[in-house]
Amino acid sequence: MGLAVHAPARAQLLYSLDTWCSLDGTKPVACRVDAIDEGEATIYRHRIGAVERLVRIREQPLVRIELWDEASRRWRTARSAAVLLGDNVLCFDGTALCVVNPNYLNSIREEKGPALAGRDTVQMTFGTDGRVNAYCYDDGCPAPPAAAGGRR
Amino acid sequence: MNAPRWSLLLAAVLAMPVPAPALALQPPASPGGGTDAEDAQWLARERGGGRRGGGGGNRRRGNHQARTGFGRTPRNLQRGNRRPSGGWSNRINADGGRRSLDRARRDWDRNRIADRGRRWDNVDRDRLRREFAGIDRNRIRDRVDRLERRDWDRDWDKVRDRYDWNDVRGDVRDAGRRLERTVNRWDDQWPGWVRPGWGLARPWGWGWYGAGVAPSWGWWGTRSVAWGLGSLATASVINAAVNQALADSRTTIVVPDTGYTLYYNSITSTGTDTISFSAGNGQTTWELTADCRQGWLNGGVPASAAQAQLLNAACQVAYGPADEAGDPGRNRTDTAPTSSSASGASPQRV
Repeated sequence: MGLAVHAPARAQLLYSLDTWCSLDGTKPVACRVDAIDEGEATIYRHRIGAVERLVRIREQPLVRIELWDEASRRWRTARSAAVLLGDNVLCFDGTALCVVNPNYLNSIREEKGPALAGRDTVQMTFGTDGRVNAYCYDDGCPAPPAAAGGRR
Repeated sequence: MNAPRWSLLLAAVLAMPVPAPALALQPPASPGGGTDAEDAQWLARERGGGRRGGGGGNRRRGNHQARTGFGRTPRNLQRGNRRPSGGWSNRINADGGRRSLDRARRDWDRNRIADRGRRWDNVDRDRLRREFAGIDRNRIRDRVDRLERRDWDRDWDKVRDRYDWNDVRGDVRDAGRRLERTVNRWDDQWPGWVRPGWGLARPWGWGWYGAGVAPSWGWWGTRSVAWGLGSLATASVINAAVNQALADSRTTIVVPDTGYTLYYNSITSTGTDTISFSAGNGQTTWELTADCRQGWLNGGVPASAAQAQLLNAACQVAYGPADEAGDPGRNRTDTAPTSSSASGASPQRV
């Protein structure tokens, strides 16, 4: 899927990151992340070989995390998101897509300040409407992301 | 199995994944008056209270008990479009990147295992046992297989709260499988000696505990005076409580004069004088050890009268006389106390 189809004119590339991704819990492979600021949302394009996975994160009016569904060619809300702060790992829909992205995590670390200090794991699950169903930290998380977001 | 019963069973299973991290940090009720420091030391061995294993590296590890943080913490991940002070990175070291993801994957796997343990820790075992008492596993399996496979992940908390079958919007098949696993797991929780007649069935040397006229624990005299505790619960009281619990299919007894419950079915002899066992306060469960000869709980002198009562109850179940221990027909020949009073008035003999 071509990002140009979705990116409005004011889209701005924040950074490109050569990093590592894991799809569906498989072993890490090299990937490139392009972070594109679209004004109302940030799109993260993960290119793993010929595979492309898009994640869109919006803040207004509420935070929404969405994944591009190639089959339906629509954005759909993520089932879960998880962050391992110490490892700079970010996962969506369980371990369907995991990426090492210190840029993202450094950004939210600075933005949220002490709220994330000392935290290791943050997990969120979302309803079908995209609203947050639950969030948790560290040992307060009842299930690993794969279990929390593995199905819908 | 009728619908309400099934829904209750399902609800019981669905309630399982609910850990209680906040509760897990609470100290137990300590009616006997142990100090916070003493209880804190004891509680340091609380089951499930430790930090789960991680991958090391640059992981940030804060004070676990200080990190409750709900309420003040912004809840959402954000867009991540604000440039961090260190600027954007453009490349991740290959080894570091792979290591991070590998570690993450290992953590997930490890967490799955740990999570199973935590779930079980927080189950109301008594209730589960009661609910499962009349279960027909084959019927469950048949029923579950017939039901439509539906998503329930996002609604499981609602299900748990409502106990209403009509509101179950979930993957019933998976719930059923969990249920069956739980049943099997539950069965595993009962060692062979935990049955009527348990006093004789204990597969280790028993009967020596309670042979004296007063606790022979070296620390007993001064501490008991300080606590204002004249006596410990008698063998007959403890044994009768276990017998009743067995009759009720409960795995716990309430330790007299305390806020503690003793998982009597968890008691295992770990030597001639020592045991391991589980106890709780209704909110948190602990794995404990005791030396019944020395009167030690988790390697030390009990910090409170309540802890002494807990120690005594566990030791009685493990090594006490079989008098009234679920074997009313036995012609007793050991040195058990002659009192069969259930009043708890006479001192426990140790």
